[in-house]
Amino acid sequence: MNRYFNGQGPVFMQLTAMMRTDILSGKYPPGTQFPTVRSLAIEAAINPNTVQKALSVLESEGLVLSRGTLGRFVTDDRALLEQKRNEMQSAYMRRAWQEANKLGIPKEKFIAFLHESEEG
Amino acid sequence: MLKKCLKYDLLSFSRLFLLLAGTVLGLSPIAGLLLRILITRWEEMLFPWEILLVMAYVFLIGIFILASALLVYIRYYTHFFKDEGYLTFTLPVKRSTLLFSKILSAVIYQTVAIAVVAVAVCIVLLITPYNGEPYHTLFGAAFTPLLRRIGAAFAKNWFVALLKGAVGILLIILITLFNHLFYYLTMTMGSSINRKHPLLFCVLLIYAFNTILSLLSTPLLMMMTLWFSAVDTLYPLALVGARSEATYLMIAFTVAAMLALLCAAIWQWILHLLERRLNLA
Amino acid sequence: MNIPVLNCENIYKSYQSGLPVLSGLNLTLPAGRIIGLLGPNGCGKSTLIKLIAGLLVPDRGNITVCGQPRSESTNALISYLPERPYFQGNMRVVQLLDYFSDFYADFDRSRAIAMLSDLGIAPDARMRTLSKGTKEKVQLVLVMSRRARLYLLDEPIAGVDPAARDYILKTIIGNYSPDATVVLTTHLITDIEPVLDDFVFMGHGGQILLAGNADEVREAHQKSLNELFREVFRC
Repeated sequence: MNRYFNGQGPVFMQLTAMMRTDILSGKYPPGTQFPTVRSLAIEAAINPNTVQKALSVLESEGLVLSRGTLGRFVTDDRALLEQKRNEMQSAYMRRAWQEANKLGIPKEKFIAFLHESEEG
Repeated sequence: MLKKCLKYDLLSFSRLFLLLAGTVLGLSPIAGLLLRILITRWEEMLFPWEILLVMAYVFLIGIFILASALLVYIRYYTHFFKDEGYLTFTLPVKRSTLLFSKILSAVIYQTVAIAVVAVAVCIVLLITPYNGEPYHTLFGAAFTPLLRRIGAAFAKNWFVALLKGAVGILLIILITLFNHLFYYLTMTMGSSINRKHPLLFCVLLIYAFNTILSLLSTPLLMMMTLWFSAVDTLYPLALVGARSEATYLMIAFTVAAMLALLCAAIWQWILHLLERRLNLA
Repeated sequence: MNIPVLNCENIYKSYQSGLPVLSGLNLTLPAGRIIGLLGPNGCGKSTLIKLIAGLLVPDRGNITVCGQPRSESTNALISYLPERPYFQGNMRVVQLLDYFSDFYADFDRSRAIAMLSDLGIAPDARMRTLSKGTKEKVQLVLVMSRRARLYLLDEPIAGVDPAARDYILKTIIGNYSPDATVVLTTHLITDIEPVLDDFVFMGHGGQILLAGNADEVREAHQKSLNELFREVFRC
């Protein structure tokens, strides 16, 4: 089984999500060159056209810029990156809170837990 | 492409062939010496080893000739109809080129085999002595009268002698070709009829063809006799000398033409099978 | 490059016994794709591949490769990997490299040598001394070292260990070119799914039951191809 592919839904969406996370977490710092389609495809054992699609999505979001023959680069628009990071963080926190609600965790308990983990 | 096919066809069993050829040639002086011992001391009559060894050598020559033919057929079969066929028939090479390369390599190997045997026999004959008049070796005894006859024939009428020589060589080539093509055809047919037991069908086909041929041989011979006697009476004998010479040449050329036609027909049949009825397992 | 790499029109083929294998198959494949030909045993996948490669002749119908009718000259555009080993036993690996270089103008010898060394295969080994898995690897190396327009791989990963499978799939991906198309048949759909662009589900008689872009179909059905296959070909 491929680590990018959990068997459900399109591969390119999962790949896009992973690459977005990699960029926003700093694995690919702003302004640096992004790996080529070919090397990504080989490393991930995924079809190059799929990788291409994923990159196009990132390009349309503005996270990756194509400089023709020079290749693809991570944007150095730090404002945009910050904005996207915030969006992702909010979405994640929202999901976590929804999960907590499903399990019936009251708000105070959740906050107390967060405080404890910080100290640990 | 033909040159490349030929290269690989010739190389496919060259090591084994050269080994056998080398043995035949290498042992020929020894065989000659043994024969020399036998002949010069014939009165003593008790040379079981020498006789056995000379017989073994003759046997070796027989095996060599048989092996060179068999190796060619095995090569044809494995290269076309076993797993290798998956590679052979997906090459960017015409089937006719593949077939032609097989036939050409068969002829080359056959010729080399015959040449090797001829040289080996000459070596043996050169070593064994012969005590009849001016001949000192068996070689001389065998070849000098033969050369004299050829010389006389050429002196009498060089054109006829040349034609006879040419038609003789032509017949030998055509008979060899026919032989190879026949076995190639039976192997190809066997494979296309039944891919699980192709060799069995091949053998059955050989048997069937031979039976048909023997059944047809009597009427065929009768027809040929009629044809030749017709030719004999109609052909103006003044043109090439004696009547018998003309008849001989006419027979020979007719047979050669028939063989050539047969070879062409078999070639086309094999090609058709290879192109349309290929049936790999 | 708008000419489809392969066009099969109305293909009919029966076994010698008379049993029909393909009845009126139509298939067109564009360039620059990796396509999986998937189906149960005996549905005619291998027969179709052999028809394209030229080992069999269709009873009816036409096969066109890169716009030219199928012939021995189109063989130069096709790189075929059969299910079984197809080499002379006493040939050495390096002699096979010579053989391919001689007959195929698009053979990349240096690439083949690099791949053989990656897989740890000695170039002077004789084919008959190699294990079955190693023979298959050698064959795959030779086939993938050609710069062909159409690659036909019949069960390329079936007989190999999982590590070699990864290597083979990465080689197929790495070989990708927008001019060339790779067609692979396999039973191991899970391994191959992420590598495929498009797929074809072939049923008995050569009927095409489902075909399309792998990602689109996965999105539409919210299932993997493996699961979809099980549904479509339920016994």
